[in-house]
Amino acid sequence: MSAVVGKVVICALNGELTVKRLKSIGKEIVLGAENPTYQDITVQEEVDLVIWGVVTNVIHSL
Amino acid sequence: MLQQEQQSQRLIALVDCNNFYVSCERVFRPDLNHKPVAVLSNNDGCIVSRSQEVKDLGIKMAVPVHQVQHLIKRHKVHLFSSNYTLYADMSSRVMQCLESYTPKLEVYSIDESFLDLTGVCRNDSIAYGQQIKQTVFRTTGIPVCVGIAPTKTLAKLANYAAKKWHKTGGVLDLSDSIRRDKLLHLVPINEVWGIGRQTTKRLQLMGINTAYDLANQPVESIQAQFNIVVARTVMELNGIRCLSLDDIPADKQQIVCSRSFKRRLTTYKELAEALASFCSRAAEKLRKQGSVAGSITVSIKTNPHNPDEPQYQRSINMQLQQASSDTRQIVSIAKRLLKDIFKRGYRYQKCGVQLGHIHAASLPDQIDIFAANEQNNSTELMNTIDKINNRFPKGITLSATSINTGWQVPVEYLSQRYTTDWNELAVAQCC
Repeated sequence: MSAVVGKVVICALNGELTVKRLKSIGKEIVLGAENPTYQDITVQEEVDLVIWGVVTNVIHSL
Repeated sequence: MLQQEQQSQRLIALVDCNNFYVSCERVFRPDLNHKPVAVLSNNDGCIVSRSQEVKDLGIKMAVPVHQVQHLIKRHKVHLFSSNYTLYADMSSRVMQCLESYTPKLEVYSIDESFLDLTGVCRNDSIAYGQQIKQTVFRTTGIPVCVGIAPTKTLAKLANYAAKKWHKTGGVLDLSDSIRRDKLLHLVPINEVWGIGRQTTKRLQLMGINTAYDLANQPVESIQAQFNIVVARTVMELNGIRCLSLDDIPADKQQIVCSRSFKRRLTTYKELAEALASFCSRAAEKLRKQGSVAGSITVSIKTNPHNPDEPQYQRSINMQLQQASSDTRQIVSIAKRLLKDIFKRGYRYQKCGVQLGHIHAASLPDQIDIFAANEQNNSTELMNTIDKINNRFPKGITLSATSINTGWQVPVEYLSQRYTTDWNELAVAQCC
């Protein structure tokens, strides 16, 4: 599955694995935090970003 | 002429993972991208996989770690012990991904496969190769290079070139004979698949130095002076297909399980325990391919690199009356053989077991009718043990194998089994 805007992805941001939603604001790609207490991250050129994969399922313990 | 045309349409791709073990580690440690990383052999003895950064430091393949300790320290090379559970699982993911690109796949080793692309990508093999490369990377995180050519030997060569020259973008097609000749000029013969060290020496004495030189030798005289294998290589270099794709890998004819110990062993008891554990692993491999072994060889030796110590080396072989794959039987015979060759007063560095005369378990062996019943029970027991150990690695060890694992070398830099154990999954931060 391709990582396109709107998808939730696992990505390695500066070497650390993290979960974000891909958004686009204007011309920029933004790693959006679904948790409102965290800020979105705008992907700038100097950032080391590797998209690991698209999240397709979530297993919750109830 | 017709045959010529058919030949020219044939296409084989060799897909080979880049620095496979290092790449597996990096998938789960993205912080190590662009940093020097090396993976060590069993026992953390030698370097068996190197990232480009490590290669650039001049650290050669298979060097003992202690010889390059200064470079490792100075350049902060990240070391990993071999995590075969992880590598095997990543390998099967890569191969599974490749299967969707060809009707015929030959898994050649843990990190490379031949794909038959005949008729699959008639017009644009490079685009097809790129698609394979990108899909494998996207679905598994493993970078690969793709070499495409009419024969296996040329596909190997194309892959070598795709890895070496970044301009290729990691995909190279050698179907075109002008491009092929250009490359053959650049490749030394020892890089040609199937040309070993001895053959290289002899060819060089004859003034044959490049793959191009070799390709232009008359096949008959090469066959006369060397053998059919080298002659076939000459033909394959010329685009004449001699080696076909084996879609079913041949079962191993020999299974060897041996190890060096980090500390020297001196007693029969210690050696026997280590040997029993090697036997158990070898027997498991044997059963996995559905075979039985007809002979057992046990070997022991002291450390040849330490000339100050008394040296001793011995191996002993026994033919079995009835071929077997029963761990208990193999262990007990191996221990008996060990007793015959073991000598007190030496510091042993290595021991091993080799199973030979291997054939399919279903072949009618010389059946000992009195043993038949026992054999049936044995098969059932061994199957059950293999099943349990498959689910819970190292779950069951048989009576004779070692419980005291003092001889075992601690692996210092083992990574997690990210893909096969619920307790060792990679963790992503949610903030």
